[in-house]
Amino acid sequence: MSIPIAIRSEPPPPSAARLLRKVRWVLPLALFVIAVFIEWGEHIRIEGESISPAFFGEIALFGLVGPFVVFLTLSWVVRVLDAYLRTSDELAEVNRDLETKIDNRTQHLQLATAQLATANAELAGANEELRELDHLKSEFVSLVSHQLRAPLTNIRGALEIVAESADALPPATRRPLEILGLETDHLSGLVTKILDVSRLEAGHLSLSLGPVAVEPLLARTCSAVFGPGRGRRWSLMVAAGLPPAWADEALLEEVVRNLLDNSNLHAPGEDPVEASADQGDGLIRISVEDHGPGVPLDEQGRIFQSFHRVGDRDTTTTGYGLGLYFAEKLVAAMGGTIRVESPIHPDPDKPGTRFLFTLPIAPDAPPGNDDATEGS
Amino acid sequence: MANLLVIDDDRSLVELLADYLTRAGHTVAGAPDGQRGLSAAAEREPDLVILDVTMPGLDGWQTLARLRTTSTVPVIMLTARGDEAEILRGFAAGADDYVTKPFSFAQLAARVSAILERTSSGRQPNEVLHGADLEVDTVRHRVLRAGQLVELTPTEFSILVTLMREPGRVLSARQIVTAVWGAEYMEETGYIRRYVWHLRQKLEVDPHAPRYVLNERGIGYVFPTGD
Repeated sequence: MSIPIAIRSEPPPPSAARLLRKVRWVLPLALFVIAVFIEWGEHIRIEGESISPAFFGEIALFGLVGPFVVFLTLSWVVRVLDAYLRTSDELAEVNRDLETKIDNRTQHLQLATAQLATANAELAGANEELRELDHLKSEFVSLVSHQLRAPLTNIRGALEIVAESADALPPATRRPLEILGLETDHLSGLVTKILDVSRLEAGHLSLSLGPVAVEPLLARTCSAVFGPGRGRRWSLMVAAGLPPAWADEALLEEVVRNLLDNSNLHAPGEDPVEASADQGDGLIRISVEDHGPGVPLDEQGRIFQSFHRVGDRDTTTTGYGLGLYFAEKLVAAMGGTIRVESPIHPDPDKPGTRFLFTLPIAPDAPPGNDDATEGS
Repeated sequence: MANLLVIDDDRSLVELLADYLTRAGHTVAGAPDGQRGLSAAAEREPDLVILDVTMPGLDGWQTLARLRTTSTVPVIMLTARGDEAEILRGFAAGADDYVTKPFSFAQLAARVSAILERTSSGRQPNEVLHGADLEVDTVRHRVLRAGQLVELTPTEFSILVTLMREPGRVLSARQIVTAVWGAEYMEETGYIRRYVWHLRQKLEVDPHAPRYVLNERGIGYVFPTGD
């Protein structure tokens, strides 16, 4: 890459300067000779004068003063020309320096560009590799989960068969059998969740959007999660006249279930879990809050990542770190956002956690004469 | 009680299911692949077939398609989770119900009983409502308009079924809300117009000139009778 420089004007060639220097001497001399010759011819030959003061006067004027003036003029021109030539030389020098510098810089730039291109290519390669790895990971997880389903079905089935005749079993085996059943259910839940997540990541989850009445859905899900006889107190508060949300019913239920499960898991059993819904800023807002140990501020940013568990070394809780990740993805897919707030209660032992997510409000029917809601 | 056929390449599952369903009072035969399953179905004429989707050779859907050329026996498919699109195609190919692995045996046995009960009572295996060119399968939650699948949410489906069960009768907003969400929400009629509007957007050919969900101003909504 070279940058054209347009600051040169062609200097006169040095031979012209040399010629001018010679002419500076030769021309006055020639003028002197011509003047002497003409004056001599005019005064001595033609007019036959003798050498007179007038003759010397004219010789002095035309043979000496005139050529001297010419000499001075030419000398001045030569000086100017020299100065011009010097300046041109200096300019040419500067130009050469500049061009050398530009060439150097250009080479550096080309080198840097080449290095950048190489680095870019490496980065793109690494990126591609990572994507490939991520894809492989998803594929692997999905494959393993798929493969796990068949044996899990069989284990569950076998346990169901054994459980049917549990009365005939020695009492000492009943409790282990019960635990076996619970753990199998856990494992089934995990496999199901992993498959859902990999389906979501692969973009295979299709939404069936429509208006969803929030209160019945929340009530139904709370009852299913907390159920009668499970000893968990819970409450539901829904703002009066709350319009329907625009969502996928099954997926919305899944989101709420994940949040409720999360509270159920982390908050102590004697304190209530509170679900509520209202509207604000043109959105439906649904929240689930508990009186649990809360989420430390530095963990709040990562809580919606897959396989992230609050207080990772705490082995007393049995979450998989997938529920909140899944909930966040589902809410985003339905056009909402989810966030976590903690602490929410003044009690330092039970600061609690609030999960709050938004959903669009179902668009209203345009005004028309189709109003059948007055009937009873 | 009933004569069942389980077709699955997982021999352990066939054995366990046979055990479980035999205890539930059924007679159970098993087949390890689609081909032998078809032979067994032809030979034994079962009352119900439990058919795995994922099998080497003839897969479950192909087996179902061949079975349907000769038989109307109810079929429950054992599917993989996340194959909703395939499941819908499977329903179109004539499956009656499905359960997703990993499933519980009790859940499967309940489905078996439900289908057998519907079959033995002389009704169709699934309650299918017809009206105009709509065909609504209440068990499979499937709506066809002129043979084309219409995708509705569960709530929209419930509203449609509520109206279709009583064609020609005008139902008030309160009646619809009670049927769809339950009596405790009876007074929450404020938004029913919004639900109906969205239902029409999906269901009607021209939502501005509805043919299926009509309104009687100030009274309620009605699914018209055929005439």
